[in-house]
Amino acid sequence: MAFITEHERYGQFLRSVHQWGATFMIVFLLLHMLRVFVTGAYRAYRWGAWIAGACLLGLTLGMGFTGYSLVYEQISYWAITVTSNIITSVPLVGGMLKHLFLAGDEINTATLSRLYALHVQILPAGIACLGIIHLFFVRLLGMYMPGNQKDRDEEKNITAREGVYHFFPDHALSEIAVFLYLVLAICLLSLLFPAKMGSPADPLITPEHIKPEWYFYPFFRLLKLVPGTAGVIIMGLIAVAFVLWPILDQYVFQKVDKVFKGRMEVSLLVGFLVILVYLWWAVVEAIG
Amino acid sequence: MGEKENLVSRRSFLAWLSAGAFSLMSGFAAFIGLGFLYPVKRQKPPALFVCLESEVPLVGEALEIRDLKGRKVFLMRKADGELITIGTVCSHLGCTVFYRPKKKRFECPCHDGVFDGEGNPVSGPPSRPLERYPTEVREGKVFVHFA
Ligand code: FES
Repeated sequence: MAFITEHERYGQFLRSVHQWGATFMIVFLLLHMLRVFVTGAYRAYRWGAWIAGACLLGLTLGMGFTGYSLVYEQISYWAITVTSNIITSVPLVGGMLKHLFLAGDEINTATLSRLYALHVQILPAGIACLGIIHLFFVRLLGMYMPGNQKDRDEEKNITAREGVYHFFPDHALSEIAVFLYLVLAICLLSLLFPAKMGSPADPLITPEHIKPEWYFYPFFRLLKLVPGTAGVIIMGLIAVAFVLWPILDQYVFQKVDKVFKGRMEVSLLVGFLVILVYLWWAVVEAIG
Repeated sequence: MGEKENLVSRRSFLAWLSAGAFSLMSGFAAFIGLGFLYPVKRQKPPALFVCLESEVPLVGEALEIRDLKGRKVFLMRKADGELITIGTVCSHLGCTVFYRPKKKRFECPCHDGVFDGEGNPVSGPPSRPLERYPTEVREGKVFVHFA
């Protein structure tokens, strides 16, 4: 990594693009999920797409984690340590999973190869498969149309007046335009804020101020607030609730809605609360 | 003859007896054999000479030594004069804790865990104390049993 960053021609630029690209990917994923959530696009049996999508988000975060672990800086080393101990708290098989993850009982030379295999083979393969499933579900039930019947009729009128919006060239052209802007933005950011090498990993000392990447801040906060393994267990429950959200919504929240006679939407309430706490904790960690 | 029919024949009695003995013995062997799946735990790891007792600082301060893996470990004196050796691996999720002599406590940089001067959790996420290694003084020399 140090060679790419500090010696190779254009190496640092390449690494920066890689890093900023990853950041963008996570930002856009979060925005996409936010849109799906706010418009309720996961409802009406669009479970499959949401569940596949939620797993995709998980895998992407896994890519992010293995990515910054492979740089093997201090933050990488201690992130791997903490993560491996989180894995240990999985009931029954925790110890075995940790061994599998680290390729030993402690971080060793084989650990990096293992993370590398995850980063370039296993996780991307998972993302590709789930991505296909995600798209398959979208095609199966059709795109979600926000709004009520009136909006949809309106939409039909526009289509009637101005013709169908074709995938090619209409959609493809706008996609290309967005793509070019994004490439430009990533290049600019990479030139202005290039990736650097942090202090190299030291197994003997945890630095006094250590934080994971920004997208893990809320989880990091949670670990600080909840004592012992309870924090890890709550994290697991949140992940499960997140993946199964549409099912929760249909069988729990919408039932509760009925009690309030449709005067409020519990799922929206819960969701916004979660988002607020997420943002709040992220901000607290960012400035703290 | 009529009475004998109800009795177990000598042959089948012996067959049952040997089958029973066989299963009992194999069960016993399996029980002991499975025990080998788990490595033998030694009662107390061997002692290692670390320093002279006179080198251990006064109460509230800590002497930094290294364990067998090269990790930092603190040798300290309790108020009653007893020596204790405390590991620096945080009991929460494994980061390395710092000793703050002024506050007489250990602090973990990862999730703000705090331990008192004897390694017991005070605040933050850790719920278990820091690891303690059995320490003894023999003829003015300090020995620590590192696991
Ligand atoms: S690892 Fe020490 S507080 Fe979490």
